[in-house]
Amino acid sequence: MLTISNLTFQHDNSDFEIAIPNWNLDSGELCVLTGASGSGKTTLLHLIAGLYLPKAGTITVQGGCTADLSGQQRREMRLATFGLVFQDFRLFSYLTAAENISLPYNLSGSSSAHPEWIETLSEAFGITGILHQRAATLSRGEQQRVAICRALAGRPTFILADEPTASVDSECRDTILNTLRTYCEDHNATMILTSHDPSIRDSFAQSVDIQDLQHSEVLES
Amino acid sequence: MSFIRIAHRFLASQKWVTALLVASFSGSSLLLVAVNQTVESIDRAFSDRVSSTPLIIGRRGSRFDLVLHSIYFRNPASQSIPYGELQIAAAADSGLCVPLLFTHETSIHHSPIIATTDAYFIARKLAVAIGSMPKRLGQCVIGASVSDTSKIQIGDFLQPQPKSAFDVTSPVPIELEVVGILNRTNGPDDLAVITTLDTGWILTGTGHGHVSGDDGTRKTNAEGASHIPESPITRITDENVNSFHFHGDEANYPLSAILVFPSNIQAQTVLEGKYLDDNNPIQAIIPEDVIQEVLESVYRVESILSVVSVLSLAFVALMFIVLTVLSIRLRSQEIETLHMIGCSKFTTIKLVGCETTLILIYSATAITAGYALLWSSGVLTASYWI
Repeated sequence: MLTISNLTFQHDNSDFEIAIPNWNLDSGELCVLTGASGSGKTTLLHLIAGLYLPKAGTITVQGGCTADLSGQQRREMRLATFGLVFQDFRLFSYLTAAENISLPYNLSGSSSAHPEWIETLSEAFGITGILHQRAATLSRGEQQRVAICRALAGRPTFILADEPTASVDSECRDTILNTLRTYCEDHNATMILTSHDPSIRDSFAQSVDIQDLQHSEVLES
Repeated sequence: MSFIRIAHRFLASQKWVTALLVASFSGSSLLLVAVNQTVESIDRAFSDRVSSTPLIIGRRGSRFDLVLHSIYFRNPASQSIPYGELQIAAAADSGLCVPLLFTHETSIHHSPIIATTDAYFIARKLAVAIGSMPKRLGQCVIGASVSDTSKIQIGDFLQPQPKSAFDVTSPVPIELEVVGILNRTNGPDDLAVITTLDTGWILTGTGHGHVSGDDGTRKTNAEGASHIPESPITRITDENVNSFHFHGDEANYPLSAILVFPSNIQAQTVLEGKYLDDNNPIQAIIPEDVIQEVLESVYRVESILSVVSVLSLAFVALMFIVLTVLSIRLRSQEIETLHMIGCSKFTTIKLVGCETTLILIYSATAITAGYALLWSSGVLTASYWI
């Protein structure tokens, strides 16, 4: 599903570098990615999603190397394969929760987001009652759940979730994590989730610190 | 959810900026259109009406006021010329001479009451659509617009507005019986009440009617009648019409103007020459010359307003571009998000394009609504301004 080989990446005008010799994840695997702030967790997620291109090495997703794809192909891959949950939610404040959830698919003319599926997700995340409220009027916790719903609306096979439970209480956190786990089991989806929360790290079978990832020759599940 | 809906939601979230843009666009455009349309309407109205009236004889004073009074029925006359002037002009074989006496308005809607002769109907090619022409004292016909706005029907009576409520010697106005409604002309005649010259003189107090034996106060009133009836008749009927009579020399009866339609240019020149002397209290004017002077001022104002409109439109367009660029910059995270979740750059362009199109559609709607409002209120027509 995901193979990273000899990856190096450096932002423009920055000394910070990510160097991952090797990392593999199979379909259906769930992994918690930990690390200090600024250690490159979000950057790694963006590299996997094809938002950045590696300086050297390869990232292969479902058999295709992201660096070999054109910008349009990477965009189509993100829409079809990935479900991205952003740390800052990135909702459109003037749209309702329902409109935010179906936005990428409606704008792209994709038919992946079926209303029944969105309804199922809304019920699972407990946001049915706020679907017609504007995003700007929602609490941070509600916004976070809407953002996760948007990521799952296209039935992705690869979820990249950046701190998906940072703004919710423990009860809601458990609901979100259980729903994500269930989704991955049902759809044989792979998920990489970043978190600072030790309890989340402990609740997943596989967790890896990005520092360890950079210094290990081979790190396989 | 379509692009249009998303664009509409965004504009709704920025309602004050959107409203400002739409108001600026539509206001500037509407001003440009309205000014051009109004000036065109004024030009056409002036040209049509004025070109069909070669000469006007009236009391010396403002030439423009005389044109407005005698052609567009604006402001009842405060000064008069003697009826004898008409007799002199007619005797000189000057062409068709039409007396006008406009001293009163109706009490409701303030329609001008124009007293004249059959010659006026001939000169203006007026005919009744319903009813008949006024023949008897106290009868009148009304213009098509008067009929529309006041719902007055044939057989109804119109009450003239008293000239002065505080002048006890002023004649008691008689009621005018409507006997006909004129065809629509899209000119000042549509707004007028037209009656006979004799009726006009009754309104001014030059003549009156009263019951037998009522010799009145024997006091000369402001209009020169030698007595004032104690029980004046205020509604003329077939039974009392014969009791009406006039006092004084007919040559001194008042007219507010004479419209002259000379038979040829020579007759016109002779008549003009007769009134060239500045000491003569009566003047003859060519309305076309007077209106041309006014139109030149109107054209100057139109030019200024057009330049202002075009400049403001250009400014608004520039403001629109700046706001769009600023909006794109402020929404860079939004655009980046669209890209991150898999939307193409073309999607962003379509979204911004939809917003721009919607603002233009809102502006076009506002322009149409504003134009319809101005049109229905009559502001774009010459009759509103003249």
